[in-house]
Amino acid sequence: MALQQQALDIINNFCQANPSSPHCYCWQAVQYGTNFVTSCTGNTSGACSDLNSILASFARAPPVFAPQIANIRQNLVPKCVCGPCADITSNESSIYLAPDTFQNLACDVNIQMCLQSVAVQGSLDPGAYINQKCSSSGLPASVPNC
Amino acid sequence: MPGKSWGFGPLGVSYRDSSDDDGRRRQRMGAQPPPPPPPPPQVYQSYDQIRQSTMPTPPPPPSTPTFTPPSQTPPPIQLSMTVPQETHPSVTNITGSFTTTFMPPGSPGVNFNIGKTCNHNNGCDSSNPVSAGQWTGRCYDHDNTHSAGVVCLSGNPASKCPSIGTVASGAYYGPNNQPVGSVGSNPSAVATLQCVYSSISNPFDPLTISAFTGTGATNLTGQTGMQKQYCDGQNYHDMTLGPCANFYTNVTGDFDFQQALRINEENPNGAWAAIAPYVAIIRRIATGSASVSTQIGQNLAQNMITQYCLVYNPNGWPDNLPIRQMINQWALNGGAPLPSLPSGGGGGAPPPSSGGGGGGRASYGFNSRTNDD
Repeated sequence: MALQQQALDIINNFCQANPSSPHCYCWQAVQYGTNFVTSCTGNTSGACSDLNSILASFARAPPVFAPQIANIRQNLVPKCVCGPCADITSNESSIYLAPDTFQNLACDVNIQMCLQSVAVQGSLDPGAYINQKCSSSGLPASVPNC
Repeated sequence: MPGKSWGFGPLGVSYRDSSDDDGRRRQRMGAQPPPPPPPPPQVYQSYDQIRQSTMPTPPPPPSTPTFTPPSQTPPPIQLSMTVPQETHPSVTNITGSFTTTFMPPGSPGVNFNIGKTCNHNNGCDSSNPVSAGQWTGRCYDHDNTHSAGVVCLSGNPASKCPSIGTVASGAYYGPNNQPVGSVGSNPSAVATLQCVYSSISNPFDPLTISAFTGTGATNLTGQTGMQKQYCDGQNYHDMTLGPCANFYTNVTGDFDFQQALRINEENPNGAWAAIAPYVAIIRRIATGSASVSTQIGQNLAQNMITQYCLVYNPNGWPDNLPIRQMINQWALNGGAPLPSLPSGGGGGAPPPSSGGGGGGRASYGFNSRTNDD
């Protein structure tokens, strides 16, 4: 569609000239593409902010979740990780510019993963016990039930 | 509105309204195109790899912000919500050579007298001195018989023309629209007045419409007629509020183009983009959702937007909220309402400033989104 391409060209033109503009956070994330994680490693600002928050949470996960996290790390994509990209498709007054079409920016997969660890401090009375029960389904056998 | 013209440099095209061939339009199209500097080269990005990705959303722990707002948000530009009045005065009359139809006595605004005489002179007297031929070869006046009865008209025909402009000349005509000087027999006492004007005040005035409706008259209401000439000289304000809006809607069918043309000319160098009502109008025209929609109008409006974003305000246009909303909507879905995702519903994502909490992608809510404004 001519109108759509015209708008994408305009946005592209602006963000090429102003790549560090906050308006271009999603554009920048999309530019990283499949190198999103690599490019953002060590960069906690702008387009990389949200990704780095997620990576930081992964770093705190127990080692037992390493296989799942590694799998997820390989598939982190801007449209699902970068907050500005999410904002564009859900907020018509978004300050961010859309670097692609709605269809291509829409993150239509929603997988929720809960990583939790419990640290108990102090001493326990004899006979007392802690019973933490989690339920999980659909996860590989390598993920333990508590 | 002298000197109306427009053009586009880097991405633009020049338009010529083929239905409009009067001199005023030629002047518009040919003169003073703006000399925009070339925009930066455009590089089209390929997002194929991204498009092919189907990645789950890993929500962060509750204590981890899902989204960090930018540390620096550009201040919004100041938008005017009112339309400036008459940046250029409208042309108050049209000039040229405009010939009326043949107007009989009693026509609106026409005040010449016609009478049948029968006297010893066999001619007209000073009260109605212009002869329009014989109405009879023999007539009786009191007790006398005369050899000719004559049709006589008021003098100075130019002074009897309707007061609708500047009269250049006026002349009487007899049967079959012959000049009265060549009329011999005129048994029905037919006489008409035809006037030539060098300027017309208002071609939509009822007197003017009456004078220019009929045989021999200059084209008044057609696509190249006097009304078109008059309307082409109107500024945006007068055009949209007067009869020209109806003319451009129903006769030339390019009201959207005429609006965009004037908005662009009266607010040059992208100044229109700072006036919210104009942005809304240009947006409707560009998307083809205006009440009158033409391809030439859409092209002009789209090019106005492109010019603003690439030439006149290339580093600041995203700070213009209506423009940013428009560009984003076009980029996302070509200006059409955004689709709802199957998992959608509800009320949209949290605002950018919300720092809290998991959930990752929020639901998609676009039910309230309209086409373009």
